[in-house]
Amino acid sequence: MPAVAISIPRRCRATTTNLRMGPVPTPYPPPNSSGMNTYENQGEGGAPSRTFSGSGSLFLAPSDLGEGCTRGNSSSYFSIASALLPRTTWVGGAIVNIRGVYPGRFCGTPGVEVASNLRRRSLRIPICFFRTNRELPTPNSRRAVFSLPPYFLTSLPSPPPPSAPLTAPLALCYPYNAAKIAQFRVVTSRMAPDTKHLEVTLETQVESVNLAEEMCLRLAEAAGFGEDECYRIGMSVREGVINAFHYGNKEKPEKKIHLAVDLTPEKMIIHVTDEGTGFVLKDVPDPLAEENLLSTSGRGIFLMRAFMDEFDVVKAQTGGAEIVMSKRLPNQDSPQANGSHGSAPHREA
Amino acid sequence: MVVDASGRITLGDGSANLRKTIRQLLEETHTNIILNLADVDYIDSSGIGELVSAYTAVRSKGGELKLLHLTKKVHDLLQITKLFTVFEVYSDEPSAIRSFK
Repeated sequence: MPAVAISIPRRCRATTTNLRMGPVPTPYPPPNSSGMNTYENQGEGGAPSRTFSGSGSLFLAPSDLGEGCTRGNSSSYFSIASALLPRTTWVGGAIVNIRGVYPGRFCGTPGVEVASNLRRRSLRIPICFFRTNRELPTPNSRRAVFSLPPYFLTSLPSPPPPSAPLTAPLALCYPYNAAKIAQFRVVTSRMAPDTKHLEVTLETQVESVNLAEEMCLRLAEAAGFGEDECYRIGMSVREGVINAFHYGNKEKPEKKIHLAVDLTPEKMIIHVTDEGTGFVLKDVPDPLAEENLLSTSGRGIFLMRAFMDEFDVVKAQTGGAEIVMSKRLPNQDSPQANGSHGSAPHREA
Repeated sequence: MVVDASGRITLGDGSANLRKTIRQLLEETHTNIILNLADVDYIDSSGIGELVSAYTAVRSKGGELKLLHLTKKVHDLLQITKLFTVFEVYSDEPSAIRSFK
């Protein structure tokens, strides 16, 4: 029997199983009393060449990768990136723009070199690689950035501190998708002081489905949901946006899809609103009924209901359908389901 | 014919690739198909729809579509959508192949 292989685009996501931990060469001192860590970049010869400080993770833009290679670092991008890869404990959290880390020296920042030195010193310094649509300086650095395995950009086994801005995890996916997002805003303290609210207006296109899923996954990860729950939330958002894209907006490009997320101390609430004519939940056929089992569509609502704690569809002010669904945050007292112990630099007891 | 699928079967390219592959196999008159999903870790409602559509397309040509090596997520998804009872599912290739004889 001959075999045939088909390839379907894979969007690799990190799990704790494919994050291998390397040894920590030298323990690095804990943050000082000001809450700021100062790390020294020792450069090639071992002599401290620069000192910089930051309170969170490191922001690395492609131009930084480029500079890192072209400015006298003997290692190639690839060897640096691969040296870093197994040791990345988590990404995300408070992103410190490297501009702030090296005041006034944005263009001269050798990002990979910096990251590589950080990693040699400690596993506990969060590093966040950043990929953008920005014009990349050289073909080499372009290759370097895009050669980074996707999971390098997505792994987040531990939640960032509660104080981390809600935008931090989203910032990872926003810039290189900016063209696909009509509007992006974060409103804090709108409803209650401890509720974070985020609104994104998405274009009616297939990519919005992936984008919305990815954004909510990052939020869910940052909020402390375990891997299984993240999968369920991501899938539900995906189905909600597919519903808005296909059934609500009828795939018309002039219409928009509105995604909103509220993160309260108890739960994550997701709203997906379309610009269609709305629908009544009880009119949706049951996909488990015998006569619908072999239907090729109509399982989205069912999956959202199955995967979320609360689910409802209401009439939006615009007349479209608004899907409202929520998931209770995991119990803060229980150990993390995703099992990445000791890798969260800012985790508070 | 064993089809090894990998990646995500979701709205867009994933579903389209699966559809194209099945259609092509049917045109080449391969009607007994085993779909190996060992490397498929993610399927959404669109992907489920595509699997069902492949299943009915193959059956209408007098053939069978059987599934092999489901990952846990895909298994659970087929279970809650009650499709686990519709598809013939195998966990090893030789017995899946034998089932056609």
